[in-house]
Amino acid sequence: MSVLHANWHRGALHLWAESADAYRAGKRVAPASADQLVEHAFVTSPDEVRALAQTMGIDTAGARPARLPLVLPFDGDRPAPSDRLASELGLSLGAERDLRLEACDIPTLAVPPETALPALFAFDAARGEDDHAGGHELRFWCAAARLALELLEDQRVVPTVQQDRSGRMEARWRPWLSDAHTAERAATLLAAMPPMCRAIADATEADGWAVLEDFLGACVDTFARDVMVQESYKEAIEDRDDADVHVAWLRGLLDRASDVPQANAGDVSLVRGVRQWLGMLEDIGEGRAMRLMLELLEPPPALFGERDGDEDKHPWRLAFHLVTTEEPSSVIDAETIWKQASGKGGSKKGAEKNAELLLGELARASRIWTKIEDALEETAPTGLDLDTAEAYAFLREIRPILEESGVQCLVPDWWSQASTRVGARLFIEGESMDGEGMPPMGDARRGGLGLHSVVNYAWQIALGDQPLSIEAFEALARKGSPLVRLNGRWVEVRREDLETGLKFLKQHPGGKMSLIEALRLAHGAAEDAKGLPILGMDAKGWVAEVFGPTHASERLEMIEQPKRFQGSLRPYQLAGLSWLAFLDRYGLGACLADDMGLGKTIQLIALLQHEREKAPEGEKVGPTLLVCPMSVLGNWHRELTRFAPELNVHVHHGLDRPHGDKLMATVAKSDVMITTYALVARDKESLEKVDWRRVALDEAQHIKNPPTKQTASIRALKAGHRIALTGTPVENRLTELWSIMEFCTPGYLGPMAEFRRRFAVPIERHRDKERAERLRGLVRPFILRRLKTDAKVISDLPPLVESHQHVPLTGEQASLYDKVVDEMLAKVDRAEGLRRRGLVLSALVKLKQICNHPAHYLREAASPEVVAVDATEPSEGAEGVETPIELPTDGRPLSARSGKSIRLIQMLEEVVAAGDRALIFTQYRQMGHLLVAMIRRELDVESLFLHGGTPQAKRDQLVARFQDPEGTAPIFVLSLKAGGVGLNLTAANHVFHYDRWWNPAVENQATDRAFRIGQLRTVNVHKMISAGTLEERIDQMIEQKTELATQIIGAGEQWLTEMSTGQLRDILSLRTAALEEV
Amino acid sequence: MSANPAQGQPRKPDSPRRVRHGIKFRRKEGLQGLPWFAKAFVDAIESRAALGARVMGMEYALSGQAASFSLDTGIVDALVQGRAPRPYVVKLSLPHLSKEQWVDVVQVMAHEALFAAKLLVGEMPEGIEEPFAACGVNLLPKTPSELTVECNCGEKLPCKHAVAVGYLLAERLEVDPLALFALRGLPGTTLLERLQEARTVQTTGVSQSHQSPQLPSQKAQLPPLEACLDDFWRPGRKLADFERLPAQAHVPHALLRRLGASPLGGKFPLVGLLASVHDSLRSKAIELRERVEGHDA
Repeated sequence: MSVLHANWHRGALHLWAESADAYRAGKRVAPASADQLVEHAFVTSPDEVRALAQTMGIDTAGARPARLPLVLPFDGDRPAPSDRLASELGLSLGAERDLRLEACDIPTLAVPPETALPALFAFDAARGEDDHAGGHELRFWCAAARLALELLEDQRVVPTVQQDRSGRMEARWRPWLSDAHTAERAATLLAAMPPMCRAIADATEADGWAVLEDFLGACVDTFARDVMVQESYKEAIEDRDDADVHVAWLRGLLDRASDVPQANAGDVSLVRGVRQWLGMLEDIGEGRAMRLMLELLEPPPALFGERDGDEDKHPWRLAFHLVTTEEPSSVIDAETIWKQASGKGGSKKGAEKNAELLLGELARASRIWTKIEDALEETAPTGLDLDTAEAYAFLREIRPILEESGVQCLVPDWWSQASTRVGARLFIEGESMDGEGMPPMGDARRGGLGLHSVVNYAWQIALGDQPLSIEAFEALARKGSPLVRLNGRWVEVRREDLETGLKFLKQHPGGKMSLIEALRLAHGAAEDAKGLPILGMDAKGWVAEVFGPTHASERLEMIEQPKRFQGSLRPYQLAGLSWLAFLDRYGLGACLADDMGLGKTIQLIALLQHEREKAPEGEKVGPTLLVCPMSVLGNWHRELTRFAPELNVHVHHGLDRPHGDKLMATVAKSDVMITTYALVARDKESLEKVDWRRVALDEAQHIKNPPTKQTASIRALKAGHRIALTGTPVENRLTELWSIMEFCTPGYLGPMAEFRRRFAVPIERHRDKERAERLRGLVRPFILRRLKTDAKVISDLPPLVESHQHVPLTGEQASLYDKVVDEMLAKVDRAEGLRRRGLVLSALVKLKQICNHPAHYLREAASPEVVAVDATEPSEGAEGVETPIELPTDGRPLSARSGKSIRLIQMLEEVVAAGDRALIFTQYRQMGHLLVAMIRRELDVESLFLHGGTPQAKRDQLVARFQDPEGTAPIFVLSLKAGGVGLNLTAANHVFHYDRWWNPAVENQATDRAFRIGQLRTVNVHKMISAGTLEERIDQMIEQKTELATQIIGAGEQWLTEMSTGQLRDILSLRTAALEEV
Repeated sequence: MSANPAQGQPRKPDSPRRVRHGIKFRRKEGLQGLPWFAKAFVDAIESRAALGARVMGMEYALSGQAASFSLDTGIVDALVQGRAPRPYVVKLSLPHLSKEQWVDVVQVMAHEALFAAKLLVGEMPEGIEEPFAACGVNLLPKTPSELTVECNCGEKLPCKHAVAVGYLLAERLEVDPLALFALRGLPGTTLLERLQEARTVQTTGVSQSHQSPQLPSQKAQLPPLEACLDDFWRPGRKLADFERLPAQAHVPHALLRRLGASPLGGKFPLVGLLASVHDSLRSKAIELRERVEGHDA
């Protein structure tokens, strides 16, 4: 296995690769000789690079082997592996590494720009399929290539010329990067450049901008020449004379060759002339004290009277002003300038200067719009009269260009407001319910409502919010003016809009259609309103309640907390409950996407109680199927029992789970059935037969696209109501959003391919704000996402929220656990005194390790690990070269072998997605190494690691890095002893206790690293507990404050050693059977 | 005033006709203390002129008999009013260097910053002759006879008119040393431009028609590599910002419209061609993007 890297250097993309095998072989670099750089110790040959690139879809045609000296981080006497290689090898790379930079020589494959740009695009498009063979910097190069393409598409490209020492002249196409918007984009991209991209040994001061600019320049020039050749542009100058300076210049631009023929060697006039010309682009008035400001004034409304029309009767006025460049700016109008310049008041001298400036600025503007020359014929121009067509040209075409050139333009407010454009509005009216209002809760026959109910609709052509009759519309069309007056307001009317509008109206007189269709139309998710902008919708009746302009959760009447709920719901949780019940009433699916820690679970539990409370006497509410990942199955069961003990809960899991009729009988008795994603697929046949009152998905991001067998079985379930719970920001992850919406409201977002074309691509690729807005409008009624930082939520939240994560053991863990317990019990019987105590203690350590991760127990990672369970800090073992952890060979992630790891990774994914930061405490250094490797590999983020062996200086550095708001490592793994005291880590708002300490005070002290002065957010504490094990047993004792617990807390593990064999068996042995899915 | 029938010409007056606003030699020290390169011209003329011509020439120069004096065309062109009704046409010139010779000279000059630096502030560098000599040519007259002297007065050359113009030339060169190069065929300002151009080429290897774009400075500051060891391989958080930055509405041909007509003086309709190039680039770029996205979807 190898990892492909890319550097740009002087017009070529240098590909090179690190080899995992060579790294493992532990080869070291040969010491550098006086005149040669050291060679990198574990890179592959250019031939292997070529083969690797090709497997990743990167074309290497025309590439040649080369060498590139790079300055790379070295760890000791060999280069440190890249993040990607470390991740692939499962290295943890502790914080104690002392990295330094050293130059080394890398064999590369140099890809010429004509191949590099398409190659990056191909790679970009295919990304995600085999991401793991590419270094992280490839993402950066893909983004840079996209910027180059964007500049070409936006025509931000200029021809240039340059001359070298020998007098040879060359022409080049270059990106024009100096305009504010482009410069901002380029600067943002530059700030994201991975340092390795500028770590070229002979480059001056690692100048990232030089590298990026050269890359963009090469992309643009190569692409442009390709187009010139494809379209035979050189024919345009074929029989022209090179003596014409334009022709000579174009010779170097319109073909592959860039040479510019010159009559006189050393003649610099072309270079100077072009420089002067391009200098015009830079002349945006920045150096001047004042610049031109143009103000477009519509004809005074009073002139028109009450009537519309007469568009061409009165002139528009373009008034001239000067505006100061400094902030805050002040404006002088041209009239004042001329008055002062003619000596009537004010300082004459300053005014003359202003007059001169005004004329200069007008001359500059007239180069862009020759119409302004008309004004220059006057001696003291103050403005310009325009007819309506000219005013329109100014608004649409001229203004953006003038503004780019640094001329400020003021235009009437109504311009650029969407409300002045012609478009279609959809009117929807939901049919009322037989005079009865809503059917009662729990009526199994309902379902006529929901998205598939039929609504009345009508299209109306409107100008913003003003509807127009067909006649009025046709009258507009006859006028042929792009700006018309309507109800006393000026309005932009595009010819093409008028035509499509009329055609559309005639084809769509109105009628009935399904609500889902109507909503899709109104939000531009369907094709029908071809070419006509859709301005929105108006709803009446019940439809307005759900799809009105504000989110339903904000105007709902809050329902009361169910009487049987064992606890108390916070106000925002009641709001969530009300919203869920509200959508349920209309048979509409819902996605509750609150931040992790806000209590999605109890909101759903309360809903189950609420609907039973409201059901008519004697009527049984149908069962809810709750589908969740294995790792939280136990938690759900526990929470249901705790908050709603009256509900009949069936956990559909294990080898003895019922099937067929037996299952039907169980379902009939249950209020809730809990099962896992995997089992829904496996027991598809039985589960499909049930008419579920509701199907609810927890961790709904599990239903993936492209659909798996699992996803398909879940969608096939019959349910009156569907709810998805997820903690990830679904609205920003469009494929996930589609999958979840497809579950909650099938068909609503259309087929995946169409959704991609219509929304995902424009939004993700082109950052299309309008499309994003439409999509938000479309899904918003179905999604409720509250953040911990929302004002309404934050006041409800206590500063510290603690939760216990009870997770099952995997099969591997359970069998190891059983084995250790059995062995120990067998031996303990025959032992006494010190030996017996030793046996018990060592078994205890093993059990805790097994609960953490089998690899922890089996010592698979070779980081020096000294077992330490008690107050003793792990002693410093000899620091060896870290060797990789054995990764599962079946392609499963490393975390899959441990229940706690699975759950931890799930939760961290949400933490990272929400932009939060987390601390993870463990007692074991080796577990820490495992966690770091696991997080890097599975979440692709870097984590920091602090343990007893971390020197003080390094500790400070780690803390500073974690606390830095711009920092890139959102997760901090700490050993409990080393990191549990003293540090200030308030950047974290999640604290995980991966393994348990017997003493809550010690845990609390660790929690206080984040929960302390300076912490402004709620801190969520998550305690990981392996269900059925001694961890859970002891946790219970501590929670229940038993007498035994006080002993435990005082004496560490000593008390265990004093127990009888029977007591030991009772407390240690695994209570639940192997919980892994079979 | 009467005609001289013997000579068939009007008799000349005893003293020259006065010239209103004539160009006067104003140095108080006379010819003392002229800079060496100006004195070279005085010497070249005086060495060939009769004493009378020199005396009268100075007289003419001091009293402002020159009605005009120009160096614009690469030679000294002057009108000097004598006793005749019409002023005499006087020309002083040196052979011009060829274009190629100038290229060579500029290249040699560009090697030493001193030349450009001195000339920029309007001073004549001491060793100015060296680069010329290195190319086998001269800046100052090599021999007195290299300076061609013409006057239509009919007297022996250099006549007093020519001598007067020589003095004016010397004074002009003292004030404006760059004018000297014009006599060899390259206006001083052009020389300076070329020299600076050549120096850019020599220091950076290339002379460009465009400046390197400058980024907003605070954003362009990247930390030194030494400070990046922990985050050496990954794109920074800003990549997400980059991907989220809203796109700008496309303004067709914005740059070309801002550029306006080409000032280069070519006849081929350059801007029109560039506009159609831009259209091709845009449509091909859209095509490529859609191909990539099609692959994507």
